[in-house]
Amino acid sequence: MSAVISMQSVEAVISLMFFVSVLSYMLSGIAEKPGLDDSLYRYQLADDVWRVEQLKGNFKDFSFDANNAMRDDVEADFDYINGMTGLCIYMGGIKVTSCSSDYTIAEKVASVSRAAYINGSAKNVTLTLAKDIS
Amino acid sequence: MAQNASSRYEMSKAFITFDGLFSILPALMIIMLAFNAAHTLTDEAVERINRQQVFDKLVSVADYTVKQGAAVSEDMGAIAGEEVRYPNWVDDSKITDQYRESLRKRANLNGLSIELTNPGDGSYCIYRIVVVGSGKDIDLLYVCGD
Repeated sequence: MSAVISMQSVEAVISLMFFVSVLSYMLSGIAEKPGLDDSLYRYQLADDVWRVEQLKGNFKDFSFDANNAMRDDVEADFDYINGMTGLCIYMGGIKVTSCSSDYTIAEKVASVSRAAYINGSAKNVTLTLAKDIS
Repeated sequence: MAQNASSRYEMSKAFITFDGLFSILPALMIIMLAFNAAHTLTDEAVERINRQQVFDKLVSVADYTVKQGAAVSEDMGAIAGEEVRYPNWVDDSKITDQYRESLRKRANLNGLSIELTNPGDGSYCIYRIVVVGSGKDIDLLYVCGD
């Protein structure tokens, strides 16, 4: 009799474990809630930043030199965009906005690579948007 | 003796019913829980798909507006009929109620607003970075809808 009871208990425990594992698997699926796929939109935002600067003619005589007038204009525009959107903007791995996030630790949002006439020659420059964590 | 046996038989039947009852109840509870979980999962998936669809439509509407619908354009006099568009340079006079309504219908959205100011009315919004006016001032174009 006791052997039967213990056998039933083992069965009950196994059933309960199976049920709990199935339920937790299903509930974890609910809890996960994957976010929206906004990869195209993020790419478009990065392209917008590039396009806006191009429209304003700020890449005509652009140089990464500290005393370059175009760089100052680009910096001012990027700071303005940072104020509106909360996005840090980096060009060629160099932070152009005044937000405090460092490029190496910044949470990247999107990057685009475009050709521009920089320091007197055509170069491919990567423009990266990142979240401002400051 | 015969009465005793009959009484024992009745007792055992009662126990079998009782036993059955106690095994059916948890089984029913498990089935109900599983149905509830499946129902919640389905609702969640439908909601997620709807959200993604609305978002994708807003992204398309915003991209079309920025690159074509409301982009500043110039007629190239020398080449008759040719028009040059400047993507991301927005002419806000082109964003009329009629323009919004036609896009809303084409995108099959319940509501659509395209503004240079954040409507902040709780509807789902995305923005694009643009320049406006002859001074090419940087601004955000908000595209909201549901």
